[in-house]
Amino acid sequence: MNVIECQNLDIRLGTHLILSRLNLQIQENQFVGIFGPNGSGKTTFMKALLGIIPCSENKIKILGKTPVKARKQIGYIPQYREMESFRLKGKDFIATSIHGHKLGLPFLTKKDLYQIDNVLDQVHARDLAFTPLSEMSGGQRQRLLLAQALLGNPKLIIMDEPFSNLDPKWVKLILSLIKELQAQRKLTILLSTHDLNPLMKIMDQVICIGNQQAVLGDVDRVMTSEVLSGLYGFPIEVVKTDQHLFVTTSC
Amino acid sequence: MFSLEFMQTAFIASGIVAIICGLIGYFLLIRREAFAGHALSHVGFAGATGASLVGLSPFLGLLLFSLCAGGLIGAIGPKLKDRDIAIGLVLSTSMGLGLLFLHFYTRYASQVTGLLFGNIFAVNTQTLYGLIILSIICCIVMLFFMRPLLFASLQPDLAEAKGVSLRCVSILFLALVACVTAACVQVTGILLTFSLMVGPAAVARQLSTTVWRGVFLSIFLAVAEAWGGIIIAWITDYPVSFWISLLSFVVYLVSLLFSKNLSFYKKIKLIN
Repeated sequence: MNVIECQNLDIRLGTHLILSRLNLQIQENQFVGIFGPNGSGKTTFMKALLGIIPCSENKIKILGKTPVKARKQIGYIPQYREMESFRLKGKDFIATSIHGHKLGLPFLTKKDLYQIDNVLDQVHARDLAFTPLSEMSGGQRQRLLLAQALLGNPKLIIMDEPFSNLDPKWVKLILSLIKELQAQRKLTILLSTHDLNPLMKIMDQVICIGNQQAVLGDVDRVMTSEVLSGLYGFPIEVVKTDQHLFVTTSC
Repeated sequence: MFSLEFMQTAFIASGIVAIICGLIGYFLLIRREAFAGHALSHVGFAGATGASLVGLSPFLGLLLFSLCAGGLIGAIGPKLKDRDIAIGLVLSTSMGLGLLFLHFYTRYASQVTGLLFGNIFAVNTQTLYGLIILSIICCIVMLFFMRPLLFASLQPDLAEAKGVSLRCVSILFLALVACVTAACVQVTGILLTFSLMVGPAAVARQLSTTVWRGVFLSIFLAVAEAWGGIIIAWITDYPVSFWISLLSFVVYLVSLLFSKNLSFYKKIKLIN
């Protein structure tokens, strides 16, 4: 079953065309990395999938529905945002997202509290429930956000640059956690990054974005000098070693 | 002190205003919009003096001007670059406009002083009813609006992805701030609204680890500072606004020391 399906999709921000004639299908239980330089449209593409940026009707299908109708089935971790000034406990912070879109007072039922404990257990972070955000490290905060993304049993999780503020030790830890969760819950993961190297052993496919185009495929097929040079419109050299990938401009 | 009618009115009016100041102020800080709140009171100054010039109630002019400015700042949206510069310019222009209106309307200098620095002892029954109605409206709106407001304030990107309209939240919230500012001017005056709206909320944000504790602590401190200010002013015969702003500052300083000691103690405990 296709979790994400884009057909002839144009994504615009105002009058500015970000991505043109995008065609791709992503199957369930896939780990897909999104790679591209700054400003290439990675975040915009993710926001289109989330229904934040409106696109032409029926050009995007998430689990067979429009992005707006599929919202409940998508977990989302946005780009890094400063949280150091908040002293709210981890549990209270993620509780704000439960029914957060509905009118009313932010009270929680027993069922809500059970759900929060459950997702915190899944990311092995029960101890963070009572830790203030201001006292958490970057990796702990990311683990908390991952727990939050699991609320409501989503089928698809979209992560926008989740490693931008983490040291390599935490990147490794969070990645193994994501992989563990993916296997347990048959999740489809879409993760954008500047550096594909930590994902090399984990991801099933990669989407490369640049020059208003996007290419989806296996890492070995997409991350080649020919494909990237064709995509960006100038010579690019890709050097692969056993576990690493180096992308450089040839000029 | 409590047997005098104007004192009873002062306590009731300042208590009501402090409750909504504490409530809205907490969210103002979570949203990092303290400066916008400060600007709204200054915009209100132009509205109040302008209304006086054409023979209308200054309170009405202040409320209308603040509401329009709140809606406008909210509509501009939080993502606009250099929003602080735009707010700062609107703030200073409004003060300038207020000054121009004063230039044409020089009859009641005491009314202007009251607007700038507040005069809680001059609150009459009509203004008191206005404050009560305004507070009830604010509380009812918050009753329905608090959950999406909290979500959009703490995690705007996620809230947007879950279908919360950030623009609507921003406009409605700043309209609420405008109402509270107009009410607060009666107690502390335009120049000192910060002390009752931001001071108690800053302490609450610093010390509380849950939303509800933060909200209630903010309200409690705002009421305590407002009433404390009136009592000390009665004893010393100094202006109420001065005491409220001083109390707000002292409580904030103490909370800073307390929270620093708390984190230092935690670090020591962690090392041991």
